[in-house]
Amino acid sequence: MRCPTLQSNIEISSMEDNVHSIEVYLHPVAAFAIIDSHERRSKDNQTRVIGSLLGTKTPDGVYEISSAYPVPHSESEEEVAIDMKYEQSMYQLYKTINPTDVVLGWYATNSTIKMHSVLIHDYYSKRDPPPVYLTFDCKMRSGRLDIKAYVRCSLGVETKGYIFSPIPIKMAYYDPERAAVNLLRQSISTDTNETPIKTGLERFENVLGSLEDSIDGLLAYVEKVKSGDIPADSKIGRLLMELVSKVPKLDPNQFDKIMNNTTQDLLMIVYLTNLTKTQLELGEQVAHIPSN
Amino acid sequence: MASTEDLPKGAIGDVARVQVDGVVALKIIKHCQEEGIGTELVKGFLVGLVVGDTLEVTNSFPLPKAIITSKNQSSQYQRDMLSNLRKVNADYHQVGWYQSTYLGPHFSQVFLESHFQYQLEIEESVVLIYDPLKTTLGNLSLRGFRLTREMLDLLKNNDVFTPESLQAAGLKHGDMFEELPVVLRQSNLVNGLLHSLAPDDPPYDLLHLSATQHLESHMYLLIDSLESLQQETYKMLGYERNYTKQQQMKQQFLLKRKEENARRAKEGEELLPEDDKSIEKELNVKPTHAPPRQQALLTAEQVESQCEEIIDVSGQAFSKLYLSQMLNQQ
Repeated sequence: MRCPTLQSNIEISSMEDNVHSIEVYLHPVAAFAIIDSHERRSKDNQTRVIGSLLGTKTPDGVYEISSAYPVPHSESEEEVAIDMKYEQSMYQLYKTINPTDVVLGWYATNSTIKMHSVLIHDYYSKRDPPPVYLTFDCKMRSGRLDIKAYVRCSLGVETKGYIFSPIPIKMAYYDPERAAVNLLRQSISTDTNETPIKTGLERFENVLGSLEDSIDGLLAYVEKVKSGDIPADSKIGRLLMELVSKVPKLDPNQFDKIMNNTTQDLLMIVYLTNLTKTQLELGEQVAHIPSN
Repeated sequence: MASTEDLPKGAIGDVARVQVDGVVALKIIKHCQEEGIGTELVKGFLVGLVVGDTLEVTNSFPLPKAIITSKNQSSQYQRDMLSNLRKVNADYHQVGWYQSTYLGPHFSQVFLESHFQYQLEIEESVVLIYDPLKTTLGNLSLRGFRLTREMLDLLKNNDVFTPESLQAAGLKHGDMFEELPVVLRQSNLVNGLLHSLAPDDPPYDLLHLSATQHLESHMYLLIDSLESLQQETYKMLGYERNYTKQQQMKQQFLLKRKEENARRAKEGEELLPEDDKSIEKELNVKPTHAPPRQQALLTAEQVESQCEEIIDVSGQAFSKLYLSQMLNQQ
């Protein structure tokens, strides 16, 4: 089941020469999945998890990584073996979900590039397109969880070698994804790491609260500038000007009319809705009256 | 990390809340984003475990559209996925499923049937309802539902939901499903990641005045549901009218038959049968059956939930309106 120790057979396609035009975009969902896989690593001395990255690639080299799955592997000082059968089977399963997804590379949940990385990279290089290699610093050596992306490119003139060259990586969000990440962020400083999901109205109150806080902060700042406690910043001044001018000026009469109409509409809707609910309740009660 | 011991076989009352891992919420969003084009709904499976009163949903995987119609293929896919998850130390106990819907949950007969199958196998199963429209507006909408004990028992006994059996069980439309509070959770390591992501503004999108545009669609949906509720009511009324008519006919016939039998008894002739069945036969009427009320109950629940949605949305609309009024006065 396990593949024999990977031999470094360096036959790299010519495509790897334009690896520098590759741009990598990572969706939070893939990042979350990678961290989850790291947390579920086996106890027995497994220091890092490796796995495949899936997503789409445009012809001009934009990689959009939207999912990731771990691949069991074992490594010692001398050798590394990855479960190729597992990798293939998982890829097939993901393919049924998303036929357009391709393997874009692989990840490892440590920050250092080791000799074994070359061998694993070779395995992923057998497929199109040229793979990217993501490292997740799950030990947070630098105090933060760094994510880095590398591509392999050739080096030297006569004796050819290869280096992993870092390339920039950016986060990409779907709109709903952003909403979810924003919500998750709220629990960063809590003990339980839990965020209750609220209804629209409750959430709306939260947002209003934070808007109020920002306005208070702004007012405090303006007061301080007025009293001369802190020097005025022309940049902020201009932004404030812009903000004030953004409030649309409406004719008061016209505005009142709009206000009244909308309020009436809304009141009507709420009235009808409550009426419906009452009717429903009434019907139910009648149906449950004992027939004798 | 979460262990993978067997699910305890307790009452469903044990589980009082659903804890959804951040990665699961994101995976559902991704699936819906990529496969749920237009108004198509997506479905998938949830895996996790029960810890005390909490159902922890730690992973999920989609049910691909390509194989949704083939039962063989989809169960093979499910088996493969679960066994693969097991190999990388992920949880592999199925604890329910998820579905995307637009503008609130959709309580249909299909929905009821499929969820019943899950709870028949594992009582703790929940269904997570994800609403992409509301989430796009800035508020993640993920709600957890399951069947109540009463409903589960009725379904298990193959109840046909006659008015009488519902009365006996005391089941109202609000007693079919129960909603469980859903909390999101992430690990400390993910918190580390969230810290290193660029900070974002609070979702001021929610304050957008036009964000209530869906109110109209909500109203249309409500009208639709009310119409089908009315149809169910007509069915019931029709049955009641028929039933009363038949009863009257039978009564009259029985009266005549009794007179006749009294006469026959006097003259020593053979008596004619007086029981219900033979009367029905002679009158050439079939016994009427009450129409099943399941659809009516579901529609009522649907109406109720749509009302809640509308009240929620219009509450926001009011606040926004007053906010803009204040802004305009100054």
